[in-house]
Amino acid sequence: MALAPGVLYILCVCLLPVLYLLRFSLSEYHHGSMELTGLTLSNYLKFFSDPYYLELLYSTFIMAILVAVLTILLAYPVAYYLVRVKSPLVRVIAVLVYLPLMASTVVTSFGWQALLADSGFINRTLMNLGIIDEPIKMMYNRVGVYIALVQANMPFMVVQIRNALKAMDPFTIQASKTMGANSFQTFIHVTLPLSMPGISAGVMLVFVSVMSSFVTPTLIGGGRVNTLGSLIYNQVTVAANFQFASAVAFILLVLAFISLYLNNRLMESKKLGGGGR
Amino acid sequence: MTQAALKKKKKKKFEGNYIVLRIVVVVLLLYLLLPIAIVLISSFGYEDYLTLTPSSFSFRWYENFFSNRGLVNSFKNSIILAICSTLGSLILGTISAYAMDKSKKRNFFVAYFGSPLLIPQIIIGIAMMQVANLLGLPRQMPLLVVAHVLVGVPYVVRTITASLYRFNAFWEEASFTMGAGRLKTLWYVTLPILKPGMIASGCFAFITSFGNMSISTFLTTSRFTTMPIQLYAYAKNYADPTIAAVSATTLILTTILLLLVDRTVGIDKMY
Repeated sequence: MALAPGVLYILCVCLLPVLYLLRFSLSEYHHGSMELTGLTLSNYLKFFSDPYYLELLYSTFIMAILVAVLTILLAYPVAYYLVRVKSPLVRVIAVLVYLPLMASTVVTSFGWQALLADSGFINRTLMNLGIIDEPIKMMYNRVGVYIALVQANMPFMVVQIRNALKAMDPFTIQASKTMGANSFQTFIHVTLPLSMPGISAGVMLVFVSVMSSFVTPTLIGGGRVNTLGSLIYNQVTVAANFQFASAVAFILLVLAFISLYLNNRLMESKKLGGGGR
Repeated sequence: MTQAALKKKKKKKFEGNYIVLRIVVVVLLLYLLLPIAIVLISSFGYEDYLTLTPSSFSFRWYENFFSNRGLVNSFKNSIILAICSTLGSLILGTISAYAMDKSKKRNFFVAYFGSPLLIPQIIIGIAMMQVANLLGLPRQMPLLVVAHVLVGVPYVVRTITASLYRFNAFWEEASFTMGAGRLKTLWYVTLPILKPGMIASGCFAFITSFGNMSISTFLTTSRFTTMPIQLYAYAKNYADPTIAAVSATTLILTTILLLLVDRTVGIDKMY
């Protein structure tokens, strides 16, 4: 059968390794060792009993939600523009919006570093103009990480909202206007509800991407802002505690599946009918 | 007359709203492109720090880049890796999409081949690191190609499935009836129809492999590394425009491929 190679490939390279990761997260900790030894919940207990990790889980969660909300607010006008405005420029703008999505996260983080640092472009320019005397702290704190993460995730949200708006029947807007609703009412009661499937899918993507990000928090946050992703990365590359890293990775996977499930439930609910993909 | 005037006024107000929207979009676009712009511009500037307003034009950072063996080697590695994994994804993905189109359990297979996209890449990376260790596989090019094909296959399967959706099975039958063999039909009928989808998803697979950090980081060593990992190591220590020259080279490559995707099937179909 022609399907066999593809099916086997995904099974062997993706699904079975993830199952092995689960089994490995249940083995005993030996510094720098990747051997399967014993069967224990200790790695999970370590995570859920230490206030440091619980605090990290909580702050990652809050960060993912805030970035998602900011992303919706900024992506909506762009998606709306791309669908509603008829101009030859739209195609060019679409390509420019998708460009950050394709640039490696390392490249964009490096760019943000050059912009936000104490001696970076923004502070240098403001000081040369005499607007400020002391540089504004935008790196090695949450502000910079938010600025960079929202920028990196905005295109994902634009794609999703754009697809939802495109799938909308244009007559629904006309119908709403004919019934006497003004532009604002039409937006709140017709356009916005119909773009919910796109927003919901976008939130899921952004949520998982923020929780697992580690390049931006490390380069912009300088180790002072952590996520589940940077915890996993540090446990592998610095602490060489592969068992604990696997346990955290599995917790991240569960969170990703929960948000996927919630998104699917939302898509199925009748309230959000139409508009979907 | 009043009707017409009212209509005109209404239309004007409508367009006025769009002017506000246009300004908002321009500001947001600046925000989106600023980190990319500073990298691109400083790579061609003379200053030894990153700036949006360089004093003069210079290629000196590119000269630095091309004379740095570590950077050039990792760049080469990334190019070879991206080419191999793109070809792998295209072959595996196209065969799978073609086969599942005729299968009764089509919906199941669509979800199955999309599943790697639902798992955060950092998890796939660390899982593969452990399995590679278990099986004693060396952290070398072949292992990375196998890993990167996984990132490309879902995009190829999705795009080819969409092309096949519009594909009419009768065209193949017509070709057989006219006396063409299986190979001839494949070459002259099936493949030309799938070509735009293959080009677009191939470019996409190339870009994602070339910029990949989350999986590669767990499967490379200090002696064998790829471009994004080398960049990351550099960016942690210095903010030297040599890195900007490397980044700009990858950005230019990415933009060309992105335009090719847009030409063939449209970018928004890829997500």
